[in-house]
Amino acid sequence: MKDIQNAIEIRDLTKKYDGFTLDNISFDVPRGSIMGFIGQNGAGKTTTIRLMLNLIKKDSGSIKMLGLDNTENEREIKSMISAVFDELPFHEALNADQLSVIMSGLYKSWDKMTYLSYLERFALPRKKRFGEFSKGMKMKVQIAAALSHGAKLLIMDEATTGLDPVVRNEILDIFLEYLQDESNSIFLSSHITTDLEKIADSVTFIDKGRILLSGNKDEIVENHGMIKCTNSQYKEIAPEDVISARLTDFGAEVMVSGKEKIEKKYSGLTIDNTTLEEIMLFYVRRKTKEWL
Amino acid sequence: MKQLIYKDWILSRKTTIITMIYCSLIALTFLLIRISANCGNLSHDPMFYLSLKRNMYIMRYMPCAVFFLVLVDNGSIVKDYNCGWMRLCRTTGIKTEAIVASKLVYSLISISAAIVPVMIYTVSLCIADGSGITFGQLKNLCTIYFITLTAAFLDTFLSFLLKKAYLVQLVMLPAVGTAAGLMMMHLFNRINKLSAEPVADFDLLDLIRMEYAEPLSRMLPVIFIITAAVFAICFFASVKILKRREMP
Repeated sequence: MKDIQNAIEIRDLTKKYDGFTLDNISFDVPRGSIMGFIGQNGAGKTTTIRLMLNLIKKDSGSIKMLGLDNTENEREIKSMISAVFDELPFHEALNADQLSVIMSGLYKSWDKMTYLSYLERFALPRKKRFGEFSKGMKMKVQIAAALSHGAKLLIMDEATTGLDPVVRNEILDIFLEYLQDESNSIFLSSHITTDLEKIADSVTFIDKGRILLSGNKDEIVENHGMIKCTNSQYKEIAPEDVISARLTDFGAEVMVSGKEKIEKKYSGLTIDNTTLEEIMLFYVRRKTKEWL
Repeated sequence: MKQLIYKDWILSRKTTIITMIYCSLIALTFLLIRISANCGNLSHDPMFYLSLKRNMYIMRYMPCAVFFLVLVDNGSIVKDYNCGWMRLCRTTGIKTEAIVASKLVYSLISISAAIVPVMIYTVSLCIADGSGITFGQLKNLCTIYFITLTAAFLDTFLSFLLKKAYLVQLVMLPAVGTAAGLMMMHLFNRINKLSAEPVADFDLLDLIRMEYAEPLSRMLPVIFIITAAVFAICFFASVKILKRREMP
């Protein structure tokens, strides 16, 4: 495992449903990093995660996790990873203490002391039923359980969705601590781009079952820019340089990539920095090109 | 696997304990009636006791009734699917065989727990009668026990297959409905006999007499083998279903 460069390697992964196809997606998650997997609802994030976890069967392609094929070495991989979902997968009648006993049967490397220390840190009651927990508490107990068996890879499916900013911040800090060990990696799917801007090293953007962008987060953000101009100035921009543009009566906001090249080409226009959220917003409308 | 059984115990212990209490209370009631018939007030009216005697045998069929109570709670598999627990188990390294085995073993434990009051009642009855428990009675009890176990294993398999609680209950509805109907008919018939002008006897359950169970109890070894075979088939079929099932 020491020689593994990528925690996750996906090649030409395809899954077809009626009305939706995950179409030949490929990307890598470098070891020791956090990858943010972003896309709007229905883009294919959860499908991709379920394929990675072998919860659904792929039609074609390959998935390697921690250097091992995810179907041939399924049990070995799953003993080294943790999955965190957007909803609590534990029965609501259970409490945290009972969960520890149960999880010790699911993972050979279950560490009760680590689990209890997380419970204490998150101020979670040990005897209270999960049904009485708030959404934030439920997510914290899931994360406490996920981090308590020495997992080398955390796969999180919209784990911060629906949480208040304080809890989200707390959880994101935990992730950064988890990554202090460089052999650990996190794959975090979310449509909350502000979280990913805070902690992600790389991002992969998926839309309608296709990968639109994948790479270093800072490079992606720096490579894109927003031109705010008048409608008449917008008409002077070549269509092939425009990812998409929001047109109003007051002017145009134009998303461009290859910022340096565009700056030289259109020296009269100012290109502002952009955010992941804006990149996502403008990329999903790339086929429409112009929108309100 | 024992931690999974522990989980099911935590989730269903109230129902299991209440079931045992109900069975114990019913057993105790019948035992008190028997003792009263031997040496209490009911002994003054032997005809009344004789009309009750046959329904004492109902206790020996109690595991079947208890199975239907357990059926309500064997929605544990369906609950596991619904809350995402089954999906979580699939993301861990635990073997599918362990998940399925824990459910079947738990069915065995809960049916066995429910039969304890029945055994205590039967033994007490025999002591109260002074007749002692006979090998034939033990064979009858074992026969009923294994038949109930077989039904419980099939219910577990159906839960893995169908996932939805209402589908499992729909499939088991004819058996549940028949048992419930027979029990209600028996109860009304008992009340009818106590009335001043009883109508004609209409109790089908009275037809289930111990002598009819005799041929069945002679086949006890075969019944045991069938139960073991059903366990094995349910186990392997459920493992295959769970391994192949997609968890969207």
